Amino acid sequence: MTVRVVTDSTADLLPEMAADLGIDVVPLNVHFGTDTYRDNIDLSADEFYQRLVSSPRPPTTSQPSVGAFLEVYQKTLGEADGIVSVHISAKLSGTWNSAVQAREQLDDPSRVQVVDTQQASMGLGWVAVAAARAAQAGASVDEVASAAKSAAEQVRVIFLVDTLEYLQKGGRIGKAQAMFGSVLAIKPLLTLQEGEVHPMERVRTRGKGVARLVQLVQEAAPLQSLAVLYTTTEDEAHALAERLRPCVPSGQVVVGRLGTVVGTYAGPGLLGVGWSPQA
Amino acid sequence: MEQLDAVALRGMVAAGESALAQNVEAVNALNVFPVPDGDTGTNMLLTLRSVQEELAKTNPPDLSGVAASGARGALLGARGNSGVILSQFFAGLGRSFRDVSQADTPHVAQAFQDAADAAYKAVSTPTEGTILTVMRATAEAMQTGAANGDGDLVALLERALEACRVAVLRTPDQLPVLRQAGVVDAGGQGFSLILEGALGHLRGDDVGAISIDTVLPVLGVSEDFLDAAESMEYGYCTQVLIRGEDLDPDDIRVRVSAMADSTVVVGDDTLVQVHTHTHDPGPILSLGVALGTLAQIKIENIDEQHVEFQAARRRERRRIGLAVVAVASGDGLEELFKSLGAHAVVAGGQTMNPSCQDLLNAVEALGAQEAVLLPNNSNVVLAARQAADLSSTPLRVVPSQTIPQGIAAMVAFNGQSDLEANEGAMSGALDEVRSGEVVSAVRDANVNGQAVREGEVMASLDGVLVASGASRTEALEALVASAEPSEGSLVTLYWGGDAGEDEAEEAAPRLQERFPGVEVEVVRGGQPFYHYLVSIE
Repeated sequence: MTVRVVTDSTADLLPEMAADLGIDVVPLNVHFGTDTYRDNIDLSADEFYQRLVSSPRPPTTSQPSVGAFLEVYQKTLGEADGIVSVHISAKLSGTWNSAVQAREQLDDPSRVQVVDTQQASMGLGWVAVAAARAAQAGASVDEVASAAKSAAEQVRVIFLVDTLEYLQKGGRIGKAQAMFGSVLAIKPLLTLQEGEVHPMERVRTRGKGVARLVQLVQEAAPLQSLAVLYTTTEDEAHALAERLRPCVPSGQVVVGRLGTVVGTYAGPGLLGVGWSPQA
Repeated sequence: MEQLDAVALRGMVAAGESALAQNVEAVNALNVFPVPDGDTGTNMLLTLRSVQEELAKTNPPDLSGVAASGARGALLGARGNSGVILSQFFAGLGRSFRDVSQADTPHVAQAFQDAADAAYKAVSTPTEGTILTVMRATAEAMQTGAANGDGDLVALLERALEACRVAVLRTPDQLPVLRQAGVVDAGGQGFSLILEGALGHLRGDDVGAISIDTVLPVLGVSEDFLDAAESMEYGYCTQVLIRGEDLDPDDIRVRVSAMADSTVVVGDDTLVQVHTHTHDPGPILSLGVALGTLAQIKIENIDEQHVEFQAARRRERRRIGLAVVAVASGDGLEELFKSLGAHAVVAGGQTMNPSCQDLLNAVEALGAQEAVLLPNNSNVVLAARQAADLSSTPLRVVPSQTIPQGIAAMVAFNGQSDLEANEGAMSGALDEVRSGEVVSAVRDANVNGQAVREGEVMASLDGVLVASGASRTEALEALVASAEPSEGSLVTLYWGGDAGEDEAEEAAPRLQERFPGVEVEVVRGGQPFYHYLVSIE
């Protein structure tokens, strides 16, 4: 019995992690006007964030087509017995929907399970990793899917955003709407809860925001795995990863950059953490 | 895409319907004009559904057929004022696309213009600040776009949507009833959603994620408006579809308008849709029978609908779980507290302490399940505590002694957490900030052992005098210096009193220069007496 794991590009998995664990990544798309770019494939992150801040109209995003999923499913089912396909929260994107429709078009849909993780970025990333590890250990499609679902309940992402403007413009602000429109400059800390953007706290300075991120990770420690995420401030992300290293017994902290699709809503200057607690 | 064809137009209609369908309740909740009965969204949606049904039935192969068939479907299914206006919009599109199989951007822009014009014509007394204004602004933006060489449909519609959204946001400036109620026009909002869906279709976006983000930042329809609207009478919403020969919609409009309010009449020489509000539907039905046959009749008692709408809105308001009431004077500070999530601001401060009763009234009026009170002045804390003892709403006082402390507490507020968590987080924030003020002495006095003459500027930090006798901005600098801000500190200046924006904006870079690594933010406080309130954190 071989089971393969498919996810989408909003998982922000490092390419080498995906390759090592045999995870197939289906890209979403980002659009500047009529130009379409596959997430993290057709447009470098540097170029993307430059255009994000300078473009007069914000970019938009779209889910992978049903055909894109169908192609990956059909190819993978030629090599494996089954697939567990884990995706970004269906409240944030139509990706899960595309995946489900692709599954329905297969000759034998029962070989594929599609999971709405209600997560995004490395929250989704760690779910894909957990599923892939279960698959490598020889689990069945059902077992891998249930490993993914249980991981999805455990993982946590917290973002310190520099501005809510991009979430607001892109219609993904969710329950953090209440924090928008402040007369004062504020730095919100956000998380994903029940598949939606959810406000945690707001602070007035970035320094305090970073200090809160550290505190929140320390409270959750010890962690099985931890990623530090950023959009434009790489040095700051590495410094934060160093500070957080003691929270992970393995000593490994992944530093990853948000892809172009999640970045469309996160905006420049985001700093975040995504973790999976110890079992 | 450069040419609009049958397939594209059908896709746009379908996506527009879907975008509206997802937000229909939100649009209903905005509905206050012409009658607060809360069904604008539903009416527009049902009108669009009828368009879809007609298209599915006739399945026209070309653009002209889709437009004509859509117009017919809209006319047959039009419900309510906004639905009827929307149907006339479709009628305008239908005429403009007659005998063409595809249309380039100048033609599409012209068709939208014709459609908006047709919509205006449908209404006996067009009112600005409604869906009509929004349609016209959209059409005008498309005309400009096409004239400037937008050859691409997506670009054209993007431009149109931008103008459309702005027009929706401006509706409260144009229509006082909207401003009173604190909402944007429901029909205009509905139209904007349809357009957004249509654009999303052309772009291949996730239409699933469209949500209203242009609603004014208030809690739906205001209580005052509901109270005022309660005493009005509207009569019956009367809607008839007249079938006949040689019908003259313009003539019918004039005759119906003479008998009723909010009259919308649309149609052609064989089919006319009448929508109106009247205290007696009888004469309108008689008129229809005299002119032809009545194909559809719908009469609803608006007053009853309206009572239901009010009850629903009131239930919604009662859902405020945790409210924050803050004490502050100055329009800038009031807006600031509200933008951070305070539900009410009681006027008062150093020179005008609100009474316990004032605070109690403000809390009780919100009808929240629980509340937090921010006195923001040491002289108000006691009255706040008394209010907490007397309040029937469970009420906690977070004892902020200054405006900067109150703002720090407000920043720590999170409407998604419970009372206990908020009380803890907000109280904890009080000590995270230092409070300063720059004010002119109102009489000769001795402050902290120092003589201060009337009119002299004084600066104090956490209640201790740190400078006197200097200019306002010198005092401000001395104040910040005495707080010894470290790198990464944030200094916020709330200007009011005799200080103006120019002075504050000039003071900020000087502070930044003198204290490297310190961030300075300038905010209009509008408070009386205090030239500057200063927070250092």
